[in-house]
Order: sequence, then C-alpha cells, then structure tokens
Amino acid sequence: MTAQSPIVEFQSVTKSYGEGPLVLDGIDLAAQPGEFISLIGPSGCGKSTLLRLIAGLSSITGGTLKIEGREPNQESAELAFVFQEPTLLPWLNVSHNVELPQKLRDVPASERAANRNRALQLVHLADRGDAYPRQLSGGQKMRVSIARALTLDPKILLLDEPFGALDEMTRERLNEELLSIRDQQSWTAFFVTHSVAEAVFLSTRIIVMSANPGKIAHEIAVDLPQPRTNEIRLTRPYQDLVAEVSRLLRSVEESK
Amino acid sequence: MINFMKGIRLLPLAASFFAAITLNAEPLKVTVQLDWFAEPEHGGFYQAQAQGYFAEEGLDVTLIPGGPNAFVMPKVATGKADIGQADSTSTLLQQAEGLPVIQFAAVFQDDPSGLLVNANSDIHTFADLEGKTIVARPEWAFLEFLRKKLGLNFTLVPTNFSIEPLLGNKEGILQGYYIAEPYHVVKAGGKKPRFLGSWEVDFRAYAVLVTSRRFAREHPEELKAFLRAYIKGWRDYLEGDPTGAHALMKAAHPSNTDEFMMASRQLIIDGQLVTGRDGNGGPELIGRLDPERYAKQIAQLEELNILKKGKVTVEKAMTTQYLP
Amino acid sequence: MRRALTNILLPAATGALMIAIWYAIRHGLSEDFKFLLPTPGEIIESLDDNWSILGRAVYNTSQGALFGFGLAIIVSSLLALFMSLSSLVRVALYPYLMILQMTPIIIFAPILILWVGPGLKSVVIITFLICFFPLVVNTTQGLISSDRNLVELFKMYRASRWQEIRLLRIPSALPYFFTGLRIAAVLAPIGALVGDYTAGSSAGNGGGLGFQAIIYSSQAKYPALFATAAVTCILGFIFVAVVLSLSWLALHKWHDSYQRTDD
Repeated sequence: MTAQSPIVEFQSVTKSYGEGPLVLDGIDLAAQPGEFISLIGPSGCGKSTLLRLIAGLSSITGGTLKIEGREPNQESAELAFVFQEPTLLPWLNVSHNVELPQKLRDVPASERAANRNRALQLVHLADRGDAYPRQLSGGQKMRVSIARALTLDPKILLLDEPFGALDEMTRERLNEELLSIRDQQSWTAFFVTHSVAEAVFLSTRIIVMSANPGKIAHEIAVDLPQPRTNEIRLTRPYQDLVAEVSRLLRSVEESK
Repeated sequence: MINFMKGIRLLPLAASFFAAITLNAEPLKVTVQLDWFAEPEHGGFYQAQAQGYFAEEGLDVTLIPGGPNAFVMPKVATGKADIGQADSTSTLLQQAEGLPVIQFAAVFQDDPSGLLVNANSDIHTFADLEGKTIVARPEWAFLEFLRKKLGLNFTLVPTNFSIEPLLGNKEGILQGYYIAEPYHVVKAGGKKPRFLGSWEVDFRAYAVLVTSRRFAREHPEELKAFLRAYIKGWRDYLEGDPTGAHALMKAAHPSNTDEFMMASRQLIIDGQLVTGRDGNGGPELIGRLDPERYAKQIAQLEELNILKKGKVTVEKAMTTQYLP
Repeated sequence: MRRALTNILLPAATGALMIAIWYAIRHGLSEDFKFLLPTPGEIIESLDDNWSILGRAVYNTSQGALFGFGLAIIVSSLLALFMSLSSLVRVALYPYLMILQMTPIIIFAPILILWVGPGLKSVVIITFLICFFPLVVNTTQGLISSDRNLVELFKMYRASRWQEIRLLRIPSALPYFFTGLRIAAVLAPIGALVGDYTAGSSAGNGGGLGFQAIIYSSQAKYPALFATAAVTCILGFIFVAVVLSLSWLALHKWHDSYQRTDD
C-alpha cells in the first residue's frame, strides 16, 4: 500500500464531558483511505465517543483531530453515520427516508430519485420504496438506514453497532451485504461493535480499547483475503484471528 | 237518670277530644317556594308567619326564599314544594305545556313587573322602545306581547339581575319590579327611573300563588286554612305594624335594610297592588282572582299566538274554591 | 359479511330496546308527570316546530365554536413553536400553561363577559380559552420530544434550524398535536355552550344552543329543551368526527395509534 496522507488522524486526543473524568485519553490513530476499522472494547471505553468526534457531533478536549487534513465540521469530507437504531423518520416512506440527506442539501428532485434508487438497489430494497418503516423488519429498516447513509457518496462511513439488535443470521447476511457494497464504492469505515466475529469478518484493522479512561490497547491487522463471503467464517485463519482478538479483549476487560 | 245528665255534660268534652285528635292531630307541613329573595312582596307570608296565623290554622309553614334561579314552577310541579309564587302569565304558558299546577290565589292584583327606564332618557311610552336594547329575562312573555301586539322590534340582552344598566347609561332599559329596583337605583346614586307598567298597554297579569294539582286534591281544607292565614297576614302587614315580617325578611336576606323594606312596602300600599288598582279595590279583594280577567288574558295570548289555542281554559288554569 | 351484519344489527337492536323502554317509562308516568319525559315523537315534532329558532341557534353556536377552535389552533401552534425554540420562554411559561390546562376555564366566563360584553365575541374567547391550553401544552410537548437520534441525524447532515423544524420537529409533533386537537374538539362545543349560557344575547342573530336551552327550560317547553339537547349532541359529535377523520388522514399510514389489529 502506498503511503497516503491519512483521511482521519487523531493526535494525542483527549475527551472529557465538562468537569467530568476523561472519557478518552491520549488517542493516536491514523486511518488511511479505504480502511475498514473496527473498534471493540468493554463498555465505557469511549468507542462510540470516538465515532462522534469524527462525525463532529462532539468536540475534542485536547490534542488534534484532522479530517482530510482539516478540522472537523469544516465542510470537508462527506460523512455518513449509521446509528444503533435505524433512526428512520416514521412519517416518511422508505424512498423519502433515503432521500432525506439529499433533501437537506437541496439536491433537485430528479437527481434525488436517481441516487435513491441506486442506494436502494445496493441494499436490495428497491421494491419497498413505498413502504413505511413500521411495515419493515428490523433488518430491513437497518438496510434502509445504510442506503440513506450512502446516497451522498460519503468518504467516511461511521457505524455504531448497527446490527446489534438483529438476530445472528440476519446479522451475518448484512455483514456480507455491507462488504459487497464496499466493493462497489470506496469509503473508509469506522465500525463499533461488541462482536469479535463481526469485527474480524468486516475489518482491515481492529482496534481494541480499554476503559477508564478510554485508551487504545491493541491494534490488530486483519489480512484475510478480499472479497470476503460468509464461507470465510469456516476457515482456519479467520477462526484463529477471532480467538486472538477475543483473548486480547478478555485481557483488557479483566484489567479494568 | 243522674248518670245520663252527667253523661250529656261530658259530650262536648268528648266531641272536642275527638276533634282534637282528628283535625288538629299534627300541623301539616307546608313548603312555600318564593320567587325571589325575601322582600316586602312576600309581606303576606312573613307577617302571617311572624304573627302565628299559620300556626293558628294548624299549618307548619316553611318559606323558602328564591333568587335569580328560583325554579318555582318545576319544584311545585314535581312536588318538591307545595306552594309557589309566580306571575299568572308565565304560569298560563307553562300550564299549556302540561305542568300540573293550578293558580289559586292572588298575591298582587297587578303584577308589578315592567320596564324601568333611565330618568334622563327620551323613552316615555312603549312605542319609544322601537329599535332599543332591553335588558330582561329572555322568557318574559310580556316581551313577546310587545313584539306582536305593538309590532315593536328591539334587541334583547339577558339580564344578570344587576341594576347596572340603569346607572349612567342614558339608554338603559331594564326589566324590574316597580317596588324594588327604583329604590336601589336611587340608593346607588342614580335618579329615580321611569316605570312603564304592563297594565298601561292593557296587559293585566296577576302575581299569584300556585300549587300542584295533587296537593290541591289531597289537602283542600289545608289550602283554605292557608289562604285564611295568608290574607289575614297581608291585611295586617299593610294596615298594621310590619316589624315582625321585616325581622323575618331580614333574617332570610341580610341585605334587606329597614329603609328599603319600609319604602317598598309603602310603594305596595300606594300602588294598591294587593288591594287592587281598579275602582272596586279594597281589603276584601286581597287574594281574589277574577275569572273574567283570566278569560281575557287567555284570549289575548291566543290571539297573538303566544299561547296555543285550546291548550288552557280558565277552569283548568285557576280556581277560587279555596278563597274564603 | 356476517361480521358486518352483526356490527349493524346488534347496536340497532339495543337502540330499539332503549326506545321501547323510553316509551314504557313514559307510559308508566301519571298524567300529571308526563311532562318530565317527552316522547321521541314529541321531541322530533318540536324540533320541526322550532327549527327556525333552533337552526339559527345551531348556526350561532357552531360559529362561536369554530372561530374559537380555529383561533386556538393558530395561536397555540405559534406559541408552541416559539416555546420549542426558546427554552427560556418555555421554562417561564410552560408551568402556568399546564396549570391553566387543568383549571376549569368555565369559571372565568362571567369575568370575561364583564370585560368583553355578551355576544359572539365573548363566546369565541371562552371557546378559545378552553381549547387553547390542551393544544399548546400537547403541541409544545410534541415539538420538544423529537427522537434524540433523529435530531443528531439532522445535526450530522448539518441541517439548518429551519430545516430541522420543518422536516423533523413539526412532523414528529403531529401525533401530539392531534391528541390535543381531539381533546379540544370535545371541549369546543362545550365552551361555546357555556359562553352562550352565561352570556348569549339575542343581539344580532340571536343566541346559541345554550341560550335556547335556558329559555326553553324557563318556559317549561320541555320537548323543545330535549330537542335542543339532541341537536347539541349531534353538533358535538360532528365536531369530533371531523377532527378524528383529520387525525386519521394525517397519521394512519405511519403512526402506532393506527395499527391494524392483524399486523
């Protein structure tokens, strides 16, 4: 991989809320374009906070954070966030939900429709455009949420335990879908999860964090072959990595 | 023979004993629902009460004061009160609606309800009411009479029973009792209002006593006794010393001042309301009802379509059988 | 098909039974007391006889109710919007609005009439007051209760304040608004009636249904009184039905309150 300038760079970043204790302490992290980085760790390790800092929903207390070389929130890279809940607007149907980011950017209607249809195709929900969120299953809602996130062609995709509420089967299937979408687009992903299996399957790099205060404890490169399908879960290298990361995670949790 | 003579002497004793236990066993409780707060218009009742005339006749009378919402007719019709005071016109109309009541004595030979007009206004006759605003009880039948008989058009604002329309407002026209409101207006600093009486346009109503048909059926003797006491009470109130009645009225309605009560009573006397304004007036007329006047009023009301034809007849509406 | 038939036949049978009982009670009353319960026939007849007066009364009461209701919707929505934008204003006013929502506003009717005078104006104001508080309290609640995640979503996409209000806060406040609207719809005819009762005058077009009820009551015209009550019920019913329909139109596609039972 040729050295490029990092798309996201944390330098000695600290974060505390008001007068409270440090939530993040001394975070150094440089993400190259195209990486898929999973953040995993015990509760309270600040992994979601890290995501929010990148998204500009929160601001850092100390250190520097650069998105594409600039401060966050400065009309720079296009960011998309997929929350833990699908966070669809219940009064809009699927099509309009997916179009929402474009609507907020005043993209003209015809263009919106084209982008939206493309996004829905990616998540295999092109035929459910007229449905309302309450008619969809949990997995379908999450796919709509992802489609929405993709419509503005984001450079950075932030996902905060998006599949946590789904059952194992749906989860594995959506993992696969996410990766296949990645093949058709090019974004850098930050992915928070509690599932080691998921982290290993999806990522190019896994960051294990420790809590109180949140620090980066371990970094593991995942060089399993691409493209990945669910068959890979049965292979030896995959399972070894899962075991390794689980061990690291346990050690971090025990030392809390 | 001696025993027989002794026995005969005992006869009157025995007779009065029997009379006592059958006639005067227990005084009959009678409730009277008044149409307004206790005021000199109820002089007959309160004097009779104060002087013990009701008790003498074997009656235990309770006088229930009324007010803006006295509900006299429904109470009497459903038996919640035995006797009520009302005006003959509205009673006729309600009798036409099927209320089982009967008018059996007069309180006033002429109902003193009329229109009070600000002293400074330019209204002197009923015709001058055209286009004006009148504050009155909306259901007052006399208004309908004015509309139909005299062809008048006016705006009606429901009264909240305050004399406020007559204070200050030159155009104020208020329904009032000629023996009460004028006094209050003067007391409040206004000039004595002009009074347009309904009798001036040949609308002659009584203020009456009513009772339910059932009560009349069940207690005819007591009704007669009641009227004896009531008429005696009125006579005493008007000709004698009204202190007793006024004390009771004050107790029932503390805002009554002695000055007001004496003034109102004087107006009743001067206006000959109880004894009759016609030439044949006098103490013997107290309480009397004239069937001919009723016939005339019924005809008047029917002719103007205020009363549905045939719904009320004189015989059904009133009776003089309980008058002494 | 059979279910629809039962749904119609059963209530119809109950209704017929109730009318039969009505006539039976009436028949049992002694002649003297028949006036206490007019027959449905007498009521309908008096409705016909008095329609010129009652019709006008319906018009007046509806007018008062509609104007008061409409005014309440407009003013409450604006105030709610304002309060949702400024937490200072909200903290300052909200407690009083909640208290006033719980107060029987009807007690202020005579005071209002003293200040404003009888007639349509006071009826509208009383109706306005009685509808305003549930509306403003509910709508404000709705505007400030938007899903936190959705607010963050909008922040993420750097939506403008106005976009947030237009596309997020207002739609998400709709269910709350309609809750307030349903409450207000029940209250509006009551407000108009009370305003009428206390203040109606025959100025202009005549009083409303409340005013007529008083008159018929003091004239002992009981069939007409019952007829007035019946007409008032129907008016209230129409009011609520219209609002329920609007509520359905706005919400049935997406809100939980309109879940189909076989979903």
